[in-house]
Amino acid sequence: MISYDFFSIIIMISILFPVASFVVIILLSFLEREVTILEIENKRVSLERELQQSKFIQLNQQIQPHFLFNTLNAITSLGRLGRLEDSVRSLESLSLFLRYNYLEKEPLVHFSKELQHTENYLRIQQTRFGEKLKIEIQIDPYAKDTLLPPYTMQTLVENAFKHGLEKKSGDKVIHISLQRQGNWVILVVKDNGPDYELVKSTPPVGVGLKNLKKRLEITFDMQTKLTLERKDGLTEAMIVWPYTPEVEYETPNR
Amino acid sequence: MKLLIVDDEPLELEQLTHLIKQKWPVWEIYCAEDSSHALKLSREGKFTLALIDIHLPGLSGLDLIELLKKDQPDLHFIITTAYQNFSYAQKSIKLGVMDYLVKPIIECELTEIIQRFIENHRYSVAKSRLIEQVLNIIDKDCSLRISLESLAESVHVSPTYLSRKFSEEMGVSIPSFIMSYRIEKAKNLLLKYPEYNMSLVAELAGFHSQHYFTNTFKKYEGITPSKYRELKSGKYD
Repeated sequence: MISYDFFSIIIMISILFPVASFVVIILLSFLEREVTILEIENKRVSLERELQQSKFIQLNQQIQPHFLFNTLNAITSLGRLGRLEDSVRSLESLSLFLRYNYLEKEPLVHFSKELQHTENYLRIQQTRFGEKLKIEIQIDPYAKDTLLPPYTMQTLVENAFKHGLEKKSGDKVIHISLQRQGNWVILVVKDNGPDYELVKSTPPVGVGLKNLKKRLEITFDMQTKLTLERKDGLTEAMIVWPYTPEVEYETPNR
Repeated sequence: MKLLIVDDEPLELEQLTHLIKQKWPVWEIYCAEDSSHALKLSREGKFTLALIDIHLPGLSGLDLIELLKKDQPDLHFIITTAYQNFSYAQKSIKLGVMDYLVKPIIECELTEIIQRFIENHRYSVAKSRLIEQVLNIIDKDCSLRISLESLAESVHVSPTYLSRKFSEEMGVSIPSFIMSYRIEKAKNLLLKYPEYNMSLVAELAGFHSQHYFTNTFKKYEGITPSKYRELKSGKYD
């Protein structure tokens, strides 16, 4: 025969156990929900960080002091030498160049805008180096309507000057081309500057190129490519990204 | 005064030439767009002062200074740069670069630096082309005997005219100018070349005898040349 005490313990357990289980089950579901919330939170934070980073990279697209001071010097020279019209034109180019830099940027801009920006930069460099600088630009009409992250072309062109052309005596040649191959757009910037260290290391180590690579990865879902090579005595930077024409999201009723 | 300007931007060469000509119209200015042209010019003639851009294509500005210094040990340098980057500072001090100029070029900064050069080196500035030519001859022929007649002949004017014109422009007569020029030259030699003995210094500065040199030096400076060297050695800029 079981004792009364033992019986009451069994009763207690058979009541307490389901209650305890019930509490545990409720707690578990709570915990699970908490975990999912944490996960979502985590994802949001990392997305935000990426966005922040991409914004930072753009903000970081600051004007090189070397370029700015040289430009101011060139414009001052034109003024002193009495070449008023040339100095005004250069100031206009500089103003447009700065305007593009200080404007709030979308993650993607139309290629023609980026081209204009680069052309302003090139016009200033032409003032500095005169006839020694030879510029060739080739744009494929089937590629020209693409969008691209701002400063993409500008970064490549600035690099060509900084690491190549400014170290080259005699004629300085820069060649820019944009082509379309199926769903891809290919931008190539070549310069005849001397061979430099950066070319020898792959992947490229320059901060500007690293940032650019990162930005391309963040912006496009599909694959992108950035390479830097030495070919036939020229330094050649190439970027490949998916052809992205402008889409009108909302057509307001007129 | 012969000036060498090296910069890879043609516009900058034009600007510097213009600014310097405005203030010192009789100076001879030579321009080079790269190091190899600069070295070629330096082999063709002696310069007093060189303005050199640090960012040159090919050979850098500092490397160029090193080579120019081998060609012309007495040449003075001013470096120009688009913005202050002090990683160059150490090497330029080692090379004895005298001053630096930051672009954009500010007119009064340029004038001040050149003015400072003129004062530090007691460089004599002529106003007319004639006197500038005479100063160049005195500088070139310092170790030789220079007479008023030979000077006048080489610049194609009469000795009396030259003598008057020189005193008017420089504030001293030709003989006393030449004498103080020789003393300055001797002072430079004494400090720059400690291995030169007194008779060599005397000869290079254009004194016919060491005795005459010592006496004249003492008259001008208050101390003998060897005492001068002892006191100032190691302080040559």
